[in-house]
Amino acid sequence: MNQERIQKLEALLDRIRRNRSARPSRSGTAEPIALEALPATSGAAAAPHAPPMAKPATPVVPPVVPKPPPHVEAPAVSATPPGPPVSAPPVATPSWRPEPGSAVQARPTTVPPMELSEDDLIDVTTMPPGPEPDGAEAEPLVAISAEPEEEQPPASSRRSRGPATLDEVMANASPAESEREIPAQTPPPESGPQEALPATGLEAPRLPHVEDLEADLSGPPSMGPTAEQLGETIELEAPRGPELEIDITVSEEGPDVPAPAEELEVTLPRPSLQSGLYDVSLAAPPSIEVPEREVHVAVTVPAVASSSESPERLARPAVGATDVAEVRFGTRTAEKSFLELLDASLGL
Amino acid sequence: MGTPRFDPTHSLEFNLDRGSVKLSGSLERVLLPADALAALLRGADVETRRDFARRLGTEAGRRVAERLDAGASSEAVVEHLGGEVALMGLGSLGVERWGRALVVTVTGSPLRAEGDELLTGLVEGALQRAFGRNTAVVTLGRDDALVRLLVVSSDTAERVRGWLAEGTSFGDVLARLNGSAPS
Repeated sequence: MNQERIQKLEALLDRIRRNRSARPSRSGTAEPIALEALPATSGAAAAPHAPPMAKPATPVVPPVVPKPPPHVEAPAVSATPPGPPVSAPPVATPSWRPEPGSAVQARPTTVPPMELSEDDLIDVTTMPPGPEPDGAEAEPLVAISAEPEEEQPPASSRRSRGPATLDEVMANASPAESEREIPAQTPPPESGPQEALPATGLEAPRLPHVEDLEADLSGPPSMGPTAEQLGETIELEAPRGPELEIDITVSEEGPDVPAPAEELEVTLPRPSLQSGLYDVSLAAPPSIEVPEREVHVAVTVPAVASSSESPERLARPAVGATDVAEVRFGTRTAEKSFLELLDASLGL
Repeated sequence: MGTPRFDPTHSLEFNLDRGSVKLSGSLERVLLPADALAALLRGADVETRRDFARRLGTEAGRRVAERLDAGASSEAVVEHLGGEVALMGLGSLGVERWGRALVVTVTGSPLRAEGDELLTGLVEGALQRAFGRNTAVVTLGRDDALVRLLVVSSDTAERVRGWLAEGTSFGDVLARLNGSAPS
């Protein structure tokens, strides 16, 4: 597995080197900058200036510099015409072959673009005019930017770019999902194919813990409710006191036993008594035992003056309820009939 | 046996199909405007008006005699005879006793003073039909709503009319009648 992966990476590195070596030949510039620092890993990939010559070289077309939009600074591209086409020596490099499953699909160098679009120019940055080397003629320095931090942020997403070093390739090859660069914006359709990345900001679906579920299923069959389901069980104490039994035997009393006095039988008060009084002569029913108690009540008697000084008061005895008023209807005279009245009137 | 109450239930029957009105199963009646009847009475002579009034009283007395006996009380007579007069729409009937004199009162007659002669003939016919007594009814006096009709004999009625023509009040007339009458 690792051998195959290493081979893929090496092939990828070779392609990258070929691509870098092919660009200066098209543009006519002589010094690629970043490729000088690349270490040679294999003999086949050691040829730094070996452009792919699988197909006959097409005439070099001068780069068409599109007119930049007003808000974008025009790249500092010199107007020097390109030089004559340089015929590259044939190099025995393996031809490019597609690699299935490769995340980074490089453009084949055998088919150079006829026209450069803005996307192609995005990766090309113009180095600011620095100190002129050795009084040479001012030439535009067009280099392939190896550091994305120095690039101007494009309007659209960047095109996929190959790694510069093997370490970078190895770092990119590590399957770290969280370290993938996720475009902040939706890439425009002209930006080429993009790798589908997992959506960020959304919570990934949680996977069930299969092991725990299997552990639950593998348990012994339930023989009843568990202690957690039943809760706290309280054991009741044994009953106290004597045992109660239902006596279903019917006791037959003899006919000589007198029936108990009915408690609801109450002797009506005598009409001579006032309302609210009771007859003290009435005896309590035999079913009620009235204890005889001696009541001692301490009464404070005020000092009373002599009877000669205070008047003797006599209260009127209470009068019971009686019919005080008597209505007598007057005796009606003999009712005369209408005929008698009529005869009397006729006798006038 | 008590006196039956006057029950006017379904006394007046309107047959809209035939366009007829009947009172207590009697002959057909005609609903007339009161002022039209008053105008008719004004145009009729005295005997015609008297005869017309007595016919109305005789019919009422007949229905009273069907329900009351000879010993009926004054209240019963007032209830039943007054009910019949009310069904005719001639006012509310009552009875007053001034000493020995018997006075019949009618309140709320739609014919007002022009209908007093009609009422006197009606009472004479009712008493004659109900109790078999020939009476003479004299108008003692009236106010806006009430008219007093004295029930006496024919001879007494002539004297009373004389007194009333002299301007004697009905109180004095009644006093004279009671004072002159042998006790």
